[in-house]
Amino acid sequence: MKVLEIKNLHKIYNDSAVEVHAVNGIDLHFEEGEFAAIVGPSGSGKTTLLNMIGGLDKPTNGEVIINGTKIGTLGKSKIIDFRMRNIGFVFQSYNLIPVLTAKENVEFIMGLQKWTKEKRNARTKELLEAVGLGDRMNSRPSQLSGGQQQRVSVARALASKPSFVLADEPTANLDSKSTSQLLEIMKDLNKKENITFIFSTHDKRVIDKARRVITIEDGKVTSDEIK
Amino acid sequence: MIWKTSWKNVWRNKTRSLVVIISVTLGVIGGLFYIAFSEGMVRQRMHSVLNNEIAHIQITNKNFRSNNEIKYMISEGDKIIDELNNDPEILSASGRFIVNGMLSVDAKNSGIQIMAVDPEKEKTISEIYQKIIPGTGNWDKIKTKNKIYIGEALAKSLNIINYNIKDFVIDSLRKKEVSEKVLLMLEPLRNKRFKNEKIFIRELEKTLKSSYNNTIKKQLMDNARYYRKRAKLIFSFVNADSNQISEAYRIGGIYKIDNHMFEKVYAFINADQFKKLAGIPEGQYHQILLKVNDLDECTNIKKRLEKKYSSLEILSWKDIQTDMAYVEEFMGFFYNIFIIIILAALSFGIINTMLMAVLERTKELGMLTAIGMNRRKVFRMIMLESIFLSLTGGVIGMILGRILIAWTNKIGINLSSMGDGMESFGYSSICYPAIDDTFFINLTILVIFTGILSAIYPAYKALKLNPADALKTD
Repeated sequence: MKVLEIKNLHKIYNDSAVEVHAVNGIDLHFEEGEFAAIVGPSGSGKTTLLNMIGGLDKPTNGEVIINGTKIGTLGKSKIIDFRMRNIGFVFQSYNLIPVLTAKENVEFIMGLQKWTKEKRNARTKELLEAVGLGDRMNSRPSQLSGGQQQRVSVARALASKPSFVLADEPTANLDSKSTSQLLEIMKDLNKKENITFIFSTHDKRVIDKARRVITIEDGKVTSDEIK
Repeated sequence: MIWKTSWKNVWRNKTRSLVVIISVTLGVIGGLFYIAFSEGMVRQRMHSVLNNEIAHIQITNKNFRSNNEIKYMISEGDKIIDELNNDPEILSASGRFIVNGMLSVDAKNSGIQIMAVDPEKEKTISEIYQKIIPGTGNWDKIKTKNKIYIGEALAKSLNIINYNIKDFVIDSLRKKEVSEKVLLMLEPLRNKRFKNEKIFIRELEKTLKSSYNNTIKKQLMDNARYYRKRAKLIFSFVNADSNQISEAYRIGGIYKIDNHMFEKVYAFINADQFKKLAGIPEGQYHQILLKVNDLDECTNIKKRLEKKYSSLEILSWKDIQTDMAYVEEFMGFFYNIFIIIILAALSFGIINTMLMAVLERTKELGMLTAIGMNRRKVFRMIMLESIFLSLTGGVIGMILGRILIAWTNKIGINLSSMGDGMESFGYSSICYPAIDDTFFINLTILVIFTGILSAIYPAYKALKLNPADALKTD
């Protein structure tokens, strides 16, 4: 089942005197349960592409279709709500809420969706145990290592059972041990929950684990390889 | 979830939040206390004005106030008093005779105004009968022959209050643990009579030198003071026939009402005795004083009485005590100005803190919008943080302010160091701060409202963040 379709996507920045074509006519689609890496050198347009897929940025041209919905047609409020229900985010610098515990960070998005307390507790417990932090539920981000924080971030991204998870350089700040732990966890969850994972990365360890590798250069897809 | 997160966000930077909360708390306490202090002073003054000095409404002959001559009487006084006492809007009415004259004791004399009053009816319009200093007499003596009630300030100026360090004074000082050395130094002053406070203090300072301090002064002033109750006071005045009349009086009591000007001028005697002395016909008075049931109706009642008794001059307390009428009218306005200043300071503190909080958390707020927290909820979260900040400080401030006001209301704030100054203007030297409960409720609402208003700009700033840009921010 197609969860994400990208049609002729363009993004042009006119901020400076020079016009920058960050994304230049990309066509892609992703099926349910994929574990895909978007790779490319710095400035190749990976993050811009991910931002447009996640509805954080508007394309200059083209369409992003998620589960049949053209997200470009959604208004400001609707796109936020759509993101909440359909997309999970994992950020490079974890971006957890520092005043909340691991448990509270994970259940935050479920709270926004008004899940019942029982449902929230059960899902939070399930996810934190799945990422190996069942015993650190009440720890605040400052009490966790970088790898542990990123695992909480993964659990949070999966909390409301989104259609896919977008992870922008998720291992960039992690050591190799934490990276392999995180990748194993994400792969397990990808299988168990059948949720599509899309990474932007230039980390070889992530690329090795990915089942599909899409290479971007100068805003264009130069290869799309399924292992 | 948002409430919980907002509350936790308040404590993200404990020092900063505590500084804001403490500032709000102190601002609210300060504001409340200042208002309660002013309100207490004004209420006490108002009480004294209405219950000791002028009552609610005064009726006189139209010529009396401008000429102040004994001949200008209310001719059908008794009839009018009866009518007024049967008026449902009037609590009580009583007649007085008022005459200017000279009061002399030994070589001292002072111009005064005698209020000749009905001893019982006077109690319904004035509280002077309750203001007699213990040990100086009592109001009931007014019924006995030729008793006069003078104010403490007049008693002082006529040297009726004397000082003498008798044996019991030394004993009481010893009990208060005043050193034997000081008691020995006081020996030359023992059993000597000092005619007034000024001379007594001068001698004490000279004798005790560096050992003289406020504690000893207070002990001595309180204990060594005695009243010359047997002193003969001669009151002289001119009657309606322009004859000089003098009469000797003894002190029935000395009253104290914290208004030196009043105490110095007004003395009270029995109306029946004065009527015979001055040859005033039955049923006539110089002045009828009224107390009404509802003070807010005073002006309307005055207008009604003006129509009914058109030949007489009728003045409400606002006409007589114009300064207090202005104070009553504008006090609320000044309180409001003061509150606005406090709330503005509170508001700037909150805006500053919340703006810093928003700018520091740009990335986090971007993340929240990215993962699906809509703008309304981001706005609400920032608003709640501001409200929690202002409310915490506001509530603590109001509770502590309330306790402080209740406590000082109970014990009073002694302003005796400037007491003479205060009492010269008619204000008590002991202030009992007071405030209405409705004022607290209004202030609570205002503090919350200010918190909400102050949060709008920082919350609006948060709304303006683009999640993609915000996430880029380091």
